[in-house]
Amino acid sequence: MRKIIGALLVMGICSVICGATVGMVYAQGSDEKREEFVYGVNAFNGSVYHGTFIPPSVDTLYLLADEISIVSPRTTLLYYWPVTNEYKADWDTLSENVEGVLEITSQGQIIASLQPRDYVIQYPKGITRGDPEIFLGEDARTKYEQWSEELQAYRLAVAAYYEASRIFTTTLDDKIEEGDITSADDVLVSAPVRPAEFVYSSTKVYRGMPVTLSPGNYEIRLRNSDGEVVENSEKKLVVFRRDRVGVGYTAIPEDKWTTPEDTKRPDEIIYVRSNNVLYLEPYFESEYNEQHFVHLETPQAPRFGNVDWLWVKEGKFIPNDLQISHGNMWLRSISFEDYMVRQTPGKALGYEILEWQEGISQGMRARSPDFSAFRLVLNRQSQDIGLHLVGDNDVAVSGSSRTVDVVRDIGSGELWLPALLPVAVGIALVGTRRYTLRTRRAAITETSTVK
Amino acid sequence: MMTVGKSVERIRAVVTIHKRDLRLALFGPVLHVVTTSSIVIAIVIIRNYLNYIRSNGIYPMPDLFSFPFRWAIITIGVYLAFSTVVTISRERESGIMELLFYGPVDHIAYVVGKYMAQVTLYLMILALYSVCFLIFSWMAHVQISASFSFMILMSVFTGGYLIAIGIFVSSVSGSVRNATLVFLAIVIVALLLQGVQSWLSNITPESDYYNPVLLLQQVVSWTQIALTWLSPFSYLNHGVNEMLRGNMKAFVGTIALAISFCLIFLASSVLGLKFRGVRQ
Amino acid sequence: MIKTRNLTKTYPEVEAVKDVTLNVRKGEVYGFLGPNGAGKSTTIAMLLGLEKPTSGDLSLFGYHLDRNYFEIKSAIGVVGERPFFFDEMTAWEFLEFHADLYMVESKIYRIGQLLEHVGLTDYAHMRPSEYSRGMRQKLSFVRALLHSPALLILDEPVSGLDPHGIRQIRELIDEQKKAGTTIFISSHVLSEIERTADRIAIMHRGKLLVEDNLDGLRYTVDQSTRVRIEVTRTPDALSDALSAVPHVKEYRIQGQQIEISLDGIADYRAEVSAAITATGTTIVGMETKKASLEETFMTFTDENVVGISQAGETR
Repeated sequence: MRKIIGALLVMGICSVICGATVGMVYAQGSDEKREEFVYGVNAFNGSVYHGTFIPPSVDTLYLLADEISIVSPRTTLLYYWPVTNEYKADWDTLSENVEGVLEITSQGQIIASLQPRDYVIQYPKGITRGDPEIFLGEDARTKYEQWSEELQAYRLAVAAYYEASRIFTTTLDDKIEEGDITSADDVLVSAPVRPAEFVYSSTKVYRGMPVTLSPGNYEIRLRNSDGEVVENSEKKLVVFRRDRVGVGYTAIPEDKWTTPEDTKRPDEIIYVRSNNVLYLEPYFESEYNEQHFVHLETPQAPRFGNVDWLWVKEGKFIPNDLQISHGNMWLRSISFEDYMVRQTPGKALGYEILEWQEGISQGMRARSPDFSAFRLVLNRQSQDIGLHLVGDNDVAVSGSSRTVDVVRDIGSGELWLPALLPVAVGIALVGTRRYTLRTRRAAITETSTVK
Repeated sequence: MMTVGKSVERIRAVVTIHKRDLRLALFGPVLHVVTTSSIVIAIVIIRNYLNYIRSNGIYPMPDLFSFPFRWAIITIGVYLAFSTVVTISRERESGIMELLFYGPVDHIAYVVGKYMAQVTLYLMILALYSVCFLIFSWMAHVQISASFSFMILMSVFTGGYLIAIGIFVSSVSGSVRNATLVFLAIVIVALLLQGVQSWLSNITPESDYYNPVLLLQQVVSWTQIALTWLSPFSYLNHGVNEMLRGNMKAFVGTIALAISFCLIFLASSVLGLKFRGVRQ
Repeated sequence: MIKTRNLTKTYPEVEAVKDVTLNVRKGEVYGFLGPNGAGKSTTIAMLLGLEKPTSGDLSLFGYHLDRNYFEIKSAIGVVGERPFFFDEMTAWEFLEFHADLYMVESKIYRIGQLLEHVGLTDYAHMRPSEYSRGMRQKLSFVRALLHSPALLILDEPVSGLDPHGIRQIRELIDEQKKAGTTIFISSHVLSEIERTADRIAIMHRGKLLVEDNLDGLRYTVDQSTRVRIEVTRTPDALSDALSAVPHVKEYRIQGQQIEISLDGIADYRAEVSAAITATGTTIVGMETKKASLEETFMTFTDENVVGISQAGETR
C-alpha cells in the first residue's frame, strides 16, 4: 500500500513539474500581444509617485493610506517579457481610457464611487528631491499651463545665455588678438551666467480616479455606463500605512566616499574601522510592511510567506546638531556642514574631502557642495559612541539614534583561538572518561593478578 | 508495597533518564565535534564581516554577532534534534526502550527525561557559545548589544521547540531509517521551500484557471505559511526581528507560541509512543 | 499476585491472546509454557504494561497497572528474553542507573553485593558488550534483583546458556524462591520448569489450555501410574495374580521385567508387590514412572483441547 502511495506521489510531483516546465517554456516562447483591461496606477510611495499597472494576473492592488493615489482603468496591449518574468504594457501602441465608475467596497458595502478626473503630478524642486504635488481637475490644467510657461521661459533664457556667451567669447578673442587684453585683470566685464537648472518637472494632464482611503482591506471594480462590471476589473485593494518613522543615515567613509552605506534600521550598529572619518547624511524614512510596499511598487513581484519590515528613504532634511555620547555621558556636538570632493592632481586618482566655502569655483562655474553631512572622527579610543539628533525643542528625534562601534583590527589567526574552547572541553570530558575507565580496569586486573 | 506520589516517581524517572542521556552525550566525541564545527563556521562569518569592515571602512548592521550566532545555534539545535531522533528510534529497535519500561518509567517520564537531557545539553552549549562570543567581542572590540541577550533568550525556546519536534518524529517512526528520513525531509523541505517558491513565482501562468503551476504555487504558499507557524527557525527569525523593532509584545508572543507548540509536540510524542508501542 | 481474566490481545491480522485467565499466587514459582507463537511473550508484555490488552482484566498485587503504575513497576523485576544493555555504559554504571531508577538504598553496597554473588565483581567496569552470553544473563538477573522485587518475571532465563550457565541461573532462581519471591517463568527448557515450578500453565495458539501443578497436569494427560518391576522369575501364576489386583489396568511381562499400568495416581505398589511375591517370585527392583513434563506438554500442544478433555473423562 505504501509503495503504491509513494509511486502515485512521485508520479504526481513529476507531472506537476513537467506541467510547470511546459508552462514556463510556453510562457517564455510567447511574445503575442493581446488587448487586456488593466489598471494604470500612480501610487504615492511616501516620497514620489510611482507609475505601474495591474495586469489580469495580479489580483491585489496596494496603496498607501491617507495619500492621494491615482487609479486609471485602461485598455492596452499586454505581452509577457521573459527577461524580467513579468507582463509589460505597450502603452505607445494602445492606451485607451475605459469609461466607468470605480466602486470601492468594504465587506460588501460600497463606500466610494469615483469618477475619473484630470490630474497632473509635479515636482517643483525636481524629481530627485521628492515632495511631489498632485493637482486635480481645473487646478491640474492650470498648473500644467504654468509649468509649460516656466519651461518655455527657461528655454528662452538658456538660448539668450548661449547667445550672450558666444558674443562674450568672440569679443574676448578679438580683444586678446588686438592686444587690448594681456591678463585676467584686464577683463572688466564678467562672463554671462548660465541660468540655474530648470528642475521643476511635471507630468502631462491625464485622467484617472484619485483614491484616498484609511488603512484596511477593500475591493474595487469598474462599472460601465450599462451598469455592468467590466471584465477583469474586480480586484482586492490593500491600503496600508507606515508603521514607524525615523531617521536614517548615509554613512560615507572618508577614504571610500564613492561607496557609502545606508543605515536605515534604528537598531543597527555602525561598525567602523578605527582611525576613520565618517560623514553622516541624515534623511527621513518610514517603515512599512515589506510585502505591501514591494507590491505597491512592483505589483507583479512574487509573494512571500513571512512578514518582514522595510525602511524606505523619504527625503533629506537640514538637521540641528548631532549629539555624540558615550553611555549616558554627553561628549560633544557636531554641526551639519557642506563638503566638496576635490580630486588630487597626478596619476594617483586620489581625492580629498574639504569643507565647502562659498565663492570657490571650478573652471567657469561656481562650485556647489557635493554633499552636506556631519563629520565624525573616530580613533582607536572611540568606544561605543552614541549618536542622536535633537529637535528644536531639545528632544531626541525619534529613530535618529545609532551606535557606532570601532572595531579593532585583529589578525585572522587570532580569531581562531576561541575555537579551541569547545575542543578543550571535548578533550577534557572524553579524555577523562576514557582515562577513568582504563584506570578502573587496570585496578581490577591488578587485583585479579594479586589474587 | 510502599506508596510514593505518582509525580515524585515520575520526576525521579525523568531525572534518572536525563542524567544518563546527558552523561552519554557529554562523554561522546560527536557532540564536541559538532560544537567546534559550528564555532568554526561562526568564526568564518565573523572574519568575513571584519575583513569587509577593514576594507570598506564601515558596515552598518543590527548586530555583527547575530547571524553567526544564529547559524551556530541552528546547527547545534538541528544536531541535537537529529541525535534525539536517532537515539530514541535506536533504543526502540535495540530493545533498550523496552528495558526501561520494565521499570518505573512511563511514557511521559521517558519523553520528558529525553527532552530535558537534550535541552540541558543545548543550554550548556549555549553557555559555551556565549563565552566564545564574549571572547570574540573582547578581541575585536565589538560590543555585545542588548539585542544579543534577547536573541540568546529566544534561542532557548526555539531550540527546545526543535528538540521537541525531533522527539515527536522518532516517537511515531517505526525504525531508525524511517525516523532519519522523515526528519531530514522536514529540514530539507523547510530550507528549500523558500527557493522552490521563488522558482515557481517566476513562472507567470498564461491562464488563471487551468495551469497546474498555479495549484502548485498555492500548495507551496500554504505549506510555507504553515511552516512559518510551525518552524522553529521561523520563530527565531521572527522573534529576533520583532525584538529588534522594539515590539516586545510580539517578542513575548513568539516565545509563548514556541512554548505552546513545544508542549503540543511533547504531548503528541507521548501519544505517539503509546500508539507505536515501546517494543520493536 | 497476578490475576488475569479473559485477557485478550488482537492485532490486525492475528488474535495473539484469547481469553486467558490465570492466577499466580504469592510466593510460588509459576511456569508459563507454550510453543513458539503461543502468545506467551504477548501475555508477558501485557502483564508489564508494554502492550495494552484488547479486552479483559489484569491486576498485579491486587492493583491495576493504569492506576498504580509506578508502585507496581517498582515491585517487579524482569529478565527479558534478550538481555538489553546500554552499550556506552559499563556494567556498574548500568546497574547504578537502575538503582537510581528504583531508588535502591545503599546502592553501592547492594550492587557490589549482588555482583559478588554472581561472580561479576572483576568485570564490573567492563561494558556488557564485552561479556559472554552467560555473564550478560547474570547481569540481567542482578539488574532485576537490585530492588528486591516481590515479583520476578523471567522470560526464557536460560535460553542460549551452556550447562554451567544454566546451573548458575538455576541457583539464583532457587535462592529467590527460598526468599519467598513470586517467580513467573516462561521457558522452553522444560526440565528447568519441571524441577522448579510449583504450578504450570500451558498456552497454545493464544489460549491457556491448562493451569495446575505438575501432578495435576500429568493426571489430565494420563490418569495412570506406571510401575516397572524386575523379578527373579516369572511363574505361570503371575498373570493371574496381577489380573486379580483391582487397580491394575494393564500389564506386560517381558522376560523378567513386568510393566504395570496402575489406575490413578495413588500408590498401590504395596498391593502389587504382595500379589507378585505371593506367586513365589522375588522382586529385585521396582521403579515408578510418571509422565514427564515434556510428554505432558507435547500431549497438550499436539492434540486439541476437546480431545484431552475426553481422554480425562473416559477413565
